[in-house]
Amino acid sequence: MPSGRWILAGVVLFVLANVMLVEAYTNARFAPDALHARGSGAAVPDAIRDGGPVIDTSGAQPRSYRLPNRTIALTFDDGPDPRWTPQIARVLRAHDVRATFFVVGSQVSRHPGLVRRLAGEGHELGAHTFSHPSLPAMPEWRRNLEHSQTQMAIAYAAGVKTALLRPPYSSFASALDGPTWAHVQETGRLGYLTVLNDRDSRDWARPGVPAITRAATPEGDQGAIVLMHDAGGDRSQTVAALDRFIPMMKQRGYRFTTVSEGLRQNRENSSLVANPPATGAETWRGRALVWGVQAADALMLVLWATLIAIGALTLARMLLLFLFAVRHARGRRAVTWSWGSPVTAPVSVIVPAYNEAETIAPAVRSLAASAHPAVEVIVVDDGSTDGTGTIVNGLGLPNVRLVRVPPAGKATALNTGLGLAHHDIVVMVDADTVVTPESIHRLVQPFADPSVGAVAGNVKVGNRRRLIARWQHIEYVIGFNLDRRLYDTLRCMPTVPGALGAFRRQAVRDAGGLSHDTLAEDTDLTMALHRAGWRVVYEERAVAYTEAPANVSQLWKQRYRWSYGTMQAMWKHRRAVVESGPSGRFGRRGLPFIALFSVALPLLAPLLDILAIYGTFFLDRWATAIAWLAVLVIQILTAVLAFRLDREPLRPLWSLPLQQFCYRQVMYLVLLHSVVTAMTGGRLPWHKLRRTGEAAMAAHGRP
Amino acid sequence: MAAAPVPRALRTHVLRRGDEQRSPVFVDSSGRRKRRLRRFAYVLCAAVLLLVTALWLSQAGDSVRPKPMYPCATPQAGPAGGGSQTAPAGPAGSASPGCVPAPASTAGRTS
Repeated sequence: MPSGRWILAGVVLFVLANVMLVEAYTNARFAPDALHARGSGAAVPDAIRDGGPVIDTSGAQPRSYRLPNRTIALTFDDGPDPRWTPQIARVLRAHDVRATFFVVGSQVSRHPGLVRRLAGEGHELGAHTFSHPSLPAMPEWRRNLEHSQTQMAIAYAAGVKTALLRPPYSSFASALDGPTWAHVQETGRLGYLTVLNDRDSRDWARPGVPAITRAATPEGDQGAIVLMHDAGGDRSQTVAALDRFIPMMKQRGYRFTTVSEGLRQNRENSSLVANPPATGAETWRGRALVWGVQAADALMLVLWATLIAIGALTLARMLLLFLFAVRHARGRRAVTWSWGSPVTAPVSVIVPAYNEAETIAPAVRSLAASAHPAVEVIVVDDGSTDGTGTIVNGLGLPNVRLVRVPPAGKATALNTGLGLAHHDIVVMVDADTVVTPESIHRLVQPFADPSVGAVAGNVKVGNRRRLIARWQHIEYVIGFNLDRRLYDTLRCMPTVPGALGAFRRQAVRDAGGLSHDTLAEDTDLTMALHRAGWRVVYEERAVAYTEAPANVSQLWKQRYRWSYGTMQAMWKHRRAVVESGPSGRFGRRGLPFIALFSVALPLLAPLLDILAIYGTFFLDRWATAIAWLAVLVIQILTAVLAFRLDREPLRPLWSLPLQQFCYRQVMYLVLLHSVVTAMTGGRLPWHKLRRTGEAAMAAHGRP
Repeated sequence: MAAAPVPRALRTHVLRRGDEQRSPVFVDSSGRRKRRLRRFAYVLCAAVLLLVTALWLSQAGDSVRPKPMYPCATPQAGPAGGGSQTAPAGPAGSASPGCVPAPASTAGRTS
C-alpha cells in the first residue's frame, strides 16, 4: 500500500512541522527580540508624555491616569514562573496585598494552574503579549495574534479576560516614542488600557534588596505603579525586597491596590473592570491553545530526550567498538595467536547461482584456484535463464561440479549443495564474490577449535568506482572490522555473511539446513547455530570481494531484504530470550544487542536530521552546526580506526561528509519501510540484484 | 559436462526441511493484519489532522479582545490624584459612536 505509507509519512511530517512551528512561536523564535532604536517622541502628545502611566486611547482623545496619592499598585511582569510566582504570591498573601500580574501568554499556556491560583487569591491579571517580542518590529496581524492568544490563555487558565496591557520593553510614559505610541493607540482601539509604570524597581538586574526597595519607593506621597518581575531568572531578591518594601510603605501610610482598584478611586473610572469574565467560546479557544502548546512541548521533550539517548548509545557503542576491536585485532596479530593445529581437511564450496552470467566465471575460477589442499566447488544453478550454467561448464575446471535445479530460491539451492557436498567443512560463497587464493584456507582454520560451528569471512566491496559503492565500501570496512570484532568478542555474531562463510556440515544439518522462513537465511542459520551452542567466529584474514549495488534502487532492494530478514530472524528466534543454556545466553545477550544497535538505533536516526533542521532554523545555528560536526567527527574517527585495523588506504573517507546527505537517509528509510512491512505482514519477493561483473573485474589480479 | 568428476565414493545427502508450506516470518497471507493496521493508521491520522486543524482554526478566528471598559457615558471625571477636568467637547469627531472625546489630562501631576 504505497499510498497508505505516503499518507502516514505525510501526516507524521505535518505533525512534526506543526510541533516545531508551535515551539518556535512560543519560544519567541519568530519574534524580533532586538529593541528598536529609540525614536523621536514628536508624535506623542505632550499630555501623554508628561502624564500618568495608565493610558487610554479608546476615545478620540487619548487620556492618561495615575494612581491617587499614597497608593501603590505592585505589578509583576513576564510570569508566571513555576518557581518564583508562588513565592511572590506567598509574600503578598502574608501582607494581605493584591497585586497585578502582567503575564506572558506562552508561560500561561505552560503553567495555567499558577494563573488560576493568582486569580483565585484576588490578584489582577494583565497581558504582556504571548511571546514577549518587541512589538513595533512586527506586522499588525502578528501583534493582534500575540494579544489575542494571551487573552485565550488567560481565559482558559482563570476564566477571565483582561483589559490591561503592558507592552514588552516599555517603561515610563515619558519614554514613549513614535513607534511605541502608535502601538499604544492601536491597542487602545482594541479596547486595552496600556499600563506603564512610575517606578522601575530594576529587580531584573539583581542589584540587591536595598537597591530594589529604594528604586521602588515613590517620592513624597505620590501614588505609583511599581514594576517588578516574577520570572526570567533568579527572583529571590525580589521576594526578599517585597517582604521589606510592603511593611515599610504601609507604615508610611500607603495602601496597596491592584491597578484597576487604584484607578477606580476615581469617579470617572468607577465602572472599570480589569478582568471581565470570558465567554465559553473564548475559554474553549484558550483550551485548544494551551493543549496545543503543552502537546508540542511534550513531543519536543520526547524528541530531545530521544536524541540524548541516541547520543549516549552511539558514544557507548563507539567506546565499546574501539575497546573491543583494538583488543581483538591485537590478539589476532600476536605472533602466538593460532586457532590450533592447521586445518587441512578437504572443503566443499557451495555457490548458489541464479542468473549470474556476469560474475560467475571469475567467482568460480577464484574458488577453484584456492590454495587449500582439497577444494570441491559445487555450483548450484537455481534455474538460471542467462546461461550461467553453460558458462560454468565452459570453464572446464576439474574440481568444479555444476548442479542444475529448478528455480526454488537461494535457501533451497544451498540445501541442495549441502546435500551434495562430500566434505565435513562447507564454505558458502555468493556467485558475485571473488576470493583471494588464501581465503578458503584461512577461513577454515578456526575449525581447529572443535567448539567452532561457523566462521564469518571479511567481505569487501570490489567495485569502488562510483560514489554509492564507495560509501558501501566504508560501511563494509567499519562493519567487518569493528562491529564483527565486537560481536566476536561478545560471542553474538548475528550473521555469517552469505558472501563468504564456512560451516561444519553437521552443525548446519542439525539446524535443519537453510530455511525459507526469512529473507536473510544466513542470519537465520547463524542464530540457529548460536542456539545450538556452537561458537560463531570471525576470521578477518579470509578476504572476499563482492559486488555492491551500484545504484540507489538496487541498494534499496538489497537493504530492504537485509533489514527485513534480520528482523524476521530475530523474531523467529525470540524464544531464545527465555530459554536456558547456550540458547538463552545468545537470546539474552546477543539478541538485545542486535535489536538495540542494528534496529532501534538506526531506526531513530531520522531524529538527527529533523532536529538539525529545527536547530538550523529556530535555534542557535552555530551550536547546531557544532553538534552536527561532532557527530561527523565521531563517524570519521570510527571509520579511520576501522580502515587502519584493516590496513585499507584512507582515501575513500573523503566521501564520508557527503554520506550524511543521501546515503544515511536511504539507510533509515529502508529500515522504516521494512518495519512497516513487518507490521502489516506483507510478502516480500526475493529481489534479484542486477550484476555488472565490475567487482569481479576489479578484484581480478588482487593479491 | 565439462567438469571432471569429483570422487563418487563419498555419499551425498538429502536435507528435508518440510517448511516450504509454512509462511515466512511476519507474513500474513490473509492480509487481515494489514487491513486492520491500515484502518487503525487512517483513523489515527484523521484524528490527528482533525485536532491540528481545529487548533489552527481556533486560533485563526476573530481576535479575542477585552470588553470596552469604559461605558463611554462617563467621560467627565478627572484622573485620580485630583485636578480639574475639561468638559466634554461633544460627539463630533468621536472615534466610536456614543463615546465622547475628551482631552488627555495632565492634571494631578505632582512631580
